Amino acid sequence: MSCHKFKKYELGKIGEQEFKDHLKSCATCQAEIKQDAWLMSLAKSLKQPVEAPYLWGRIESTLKGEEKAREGTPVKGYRWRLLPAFGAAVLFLMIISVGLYFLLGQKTGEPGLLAEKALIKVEKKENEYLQAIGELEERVLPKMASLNLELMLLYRDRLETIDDQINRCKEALGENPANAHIRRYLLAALQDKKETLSEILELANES
Amino acid sequence: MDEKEIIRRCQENDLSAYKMIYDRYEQPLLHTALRILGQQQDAEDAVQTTFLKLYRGIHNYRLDSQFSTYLFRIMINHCYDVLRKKRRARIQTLEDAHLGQDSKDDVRLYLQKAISTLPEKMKTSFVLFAVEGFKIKEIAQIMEVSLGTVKTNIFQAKMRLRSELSEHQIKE
Repeated sequence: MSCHKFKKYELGKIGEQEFKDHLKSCATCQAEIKQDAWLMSLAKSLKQPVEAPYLWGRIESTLKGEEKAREGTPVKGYRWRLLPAFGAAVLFLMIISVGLYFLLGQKTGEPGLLAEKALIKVEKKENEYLQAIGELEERVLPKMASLNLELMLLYRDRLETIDDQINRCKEALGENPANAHIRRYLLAALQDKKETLSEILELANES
Repeated sequence: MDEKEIIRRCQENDLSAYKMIYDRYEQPLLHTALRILGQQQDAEDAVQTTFLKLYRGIHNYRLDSQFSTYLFRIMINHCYDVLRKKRRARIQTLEDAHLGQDSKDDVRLYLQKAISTLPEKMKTSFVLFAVEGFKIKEIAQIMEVSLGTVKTNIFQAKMRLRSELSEHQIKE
């Protein structure tokens, strides 16, 4: 192929009118256009109906399950058994709040060194929390296999979504470590993950 | 019913509104997932997960943005996750297909197999453009890449498919 106008046109490097004018006198590009139209019409013909008669039923039951989970139907005795975990979460929240207090203090003229120390403290606690969750995850994930398939998929998706949030927060904090707003999001995501893992553990132990 | 009204009802957790979304998008979502993942069971799972993610995230959806690109973005990102996790680099060569004379069905089968061997992003761009009829701008929004990247992906996909088909003497 000696003429590159077709490629330039396809990549948007030359305009439609210029290409049309060129097309009148270029046999190579005329052949290219013909081949292209043939491929496109063949591709269009791949759009055949896909039969999936039970798919909506599956989706509906997943959404109903999610709705129930959202309403917070507690597993028997679940809340009491998780009391220590909630206590730890509250304690962690307090530590983060103290850290944020020092961080925000920087804006009101507090010496930068003190705020920096508070930031280091917050990061240290966060890392400890992350590590603890990582350990919990290592214990919980192998037990997921004992859940029924629907629950397992549900929890797997939920964990994926939470991990996604955590990673996005970490990325944002990498750019601006003192952003208290993102730290709050990260904390919420970590708590969500801890609670989800605890739920899985409870259900796996019961099954 | 107006799509915005349906979405507003979805945001109020009305399951019948999700069914309306399903009825509108079931086929294009299934086609696209099938072309990317290669197997119907995986495609159905992907659509199911897409609706679950939609249910969880619909409150963050802004009504002024285009819903179809939002929905397809959820599904395509999920398909990429599936491919990454399962490392399902199935090598499907054209020789796998049992072909007779070059009937229209056989040509379609060749094309289908050839599409399945394209790299992920090239395949997604091509399928959304050539099979599902999305505009370049919409594909760029779905895949969160530039217009130039989409155009390049589509052009390269077309060239590879044409060369793949002509190697097997399949021509217009």
